[in-house]
Amino acid sequence: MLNRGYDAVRSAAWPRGRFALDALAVFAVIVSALLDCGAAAAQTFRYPQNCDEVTGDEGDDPVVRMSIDAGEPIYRDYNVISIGDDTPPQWGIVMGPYDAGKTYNIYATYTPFLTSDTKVTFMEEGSAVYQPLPDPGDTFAGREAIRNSWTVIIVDNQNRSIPEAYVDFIPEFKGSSPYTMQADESGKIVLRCVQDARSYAITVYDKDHKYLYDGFFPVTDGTGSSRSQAYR
Amino acid sequence: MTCARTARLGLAFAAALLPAVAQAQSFVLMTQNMLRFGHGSRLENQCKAIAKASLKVDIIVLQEVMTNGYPCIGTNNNKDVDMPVPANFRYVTSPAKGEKYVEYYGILYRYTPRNNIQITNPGNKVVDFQWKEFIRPPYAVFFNVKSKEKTCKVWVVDFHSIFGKKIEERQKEVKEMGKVYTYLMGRDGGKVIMAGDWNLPTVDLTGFDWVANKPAKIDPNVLTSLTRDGTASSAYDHAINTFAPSNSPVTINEPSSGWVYVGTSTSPPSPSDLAEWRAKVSDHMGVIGDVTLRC
Repeated sequence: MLNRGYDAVRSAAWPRGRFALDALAVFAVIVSALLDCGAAAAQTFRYPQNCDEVTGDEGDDPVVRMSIDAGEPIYRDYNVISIGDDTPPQWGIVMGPYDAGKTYNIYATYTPFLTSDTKVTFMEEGSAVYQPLPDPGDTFAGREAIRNSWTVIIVDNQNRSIPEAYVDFIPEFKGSSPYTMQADESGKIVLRCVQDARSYAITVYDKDHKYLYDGFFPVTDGTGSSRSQAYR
Repeated sequence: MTCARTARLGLAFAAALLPAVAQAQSFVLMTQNMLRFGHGSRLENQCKAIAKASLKVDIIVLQEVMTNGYPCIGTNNNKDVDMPVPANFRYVTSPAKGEKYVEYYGILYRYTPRNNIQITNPGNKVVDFQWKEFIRPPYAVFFNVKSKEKTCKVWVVDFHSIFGKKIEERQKEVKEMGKVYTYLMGRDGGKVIMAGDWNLPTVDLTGFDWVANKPAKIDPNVLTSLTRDGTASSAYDHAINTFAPSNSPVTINEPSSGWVYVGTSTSPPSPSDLAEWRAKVSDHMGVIGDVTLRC
């Protein structure tokens, strides 16, 4: 987008009488290019192979949570770190101290629609070890399918689409904050790079910002789209 | 009525007002959900945004702080950003809030005098609520707000509600904040400001019903969260303050520049201002209020 903005400025040829308007247009193009630059930050993680665009990648570190053995929560003040100079980076965490024989369950959230998880067991106790995070879609149970594109149609309890609805997408971990998008005039939102065989939690407001419902939409089949549903 | 008599009456009226005016302590408060502050590529822009805001506000209440300490300081981040706490400000961090997913609260306050008012945090007094009812229990910092004539005391509370999958989770936490309010009202002078990201609009009376039943007021109810494209979407950010209908001990008024803050002077901000703030700084606008304390 930045290149396109630059080309637009470079190739423009305007008649002299329209200088003020043209200057405004140049300014608008520059501002637009800058905004695009800010919005389209460099990839912050390795995208799944079939994804050329990722909704929700905003340049944030992945969110990592950990539980031990059968789910007992633990907290250690670990930071997610990237190693090497790879772009996009390989993310990981420094675990420690860790115990022998226990199973550490690690969950990573890259976007509201991309996660991964793994289990780690150590034969001996130790003070610190670097543990790479699995890539999006990689889980302990195997690699999950990723949809390059998924359309969610936001509907009311009569199954009628809700034009220009505001939708808060809620990442799958407790304490998360929503990622907000607005549906088009047909009530549709196109998501890019979405993990398959899951349902995603949402909160829906109408175009006048009135709360309508909490619900979800499934991503479960090959149709490429699904309709939202309210929780019952 | 003669001119002289009018003048005498005017002077008398002004004199009657003077004690009240002299007792009022005013400062500017801002609350800002700073979107994973310290763990994102936006960090440098976020730090610059706070530095800019610090020129016009006196207390900044931050949510979604991801580091134990001011994220802009180089030793607190791995983003090659190293900017100090804004000039004339001090930073108070809460302990970690949450279990597996952790955030911190952060409060910046101006410790040098401005407009003949000086703000201090005597004895570093805070209340770290550890109530199990909250995913991120609130954090309260006690301030003395001093002028030449008076020192007013006030608790400033930082709060970020759970979002959760159902609105009932948000409403439950917001309702619980009524108990936090009551607790602090009983301590150190009984003036409280609770600011943050409530994840509910003020018109949600299931969550905020307690406000009407206490000497309290909530403002503003303006759209503050932003869609990916920078469209204002929900009214989530507010402050609740101690309030009485006449001669209230705390008032929070809308500044002439409007309630919301995205670093520009236009009010309301233009769509391009919002898009830029969303792309580079946060998915919430800041909320600014002119605070007056009476004691």
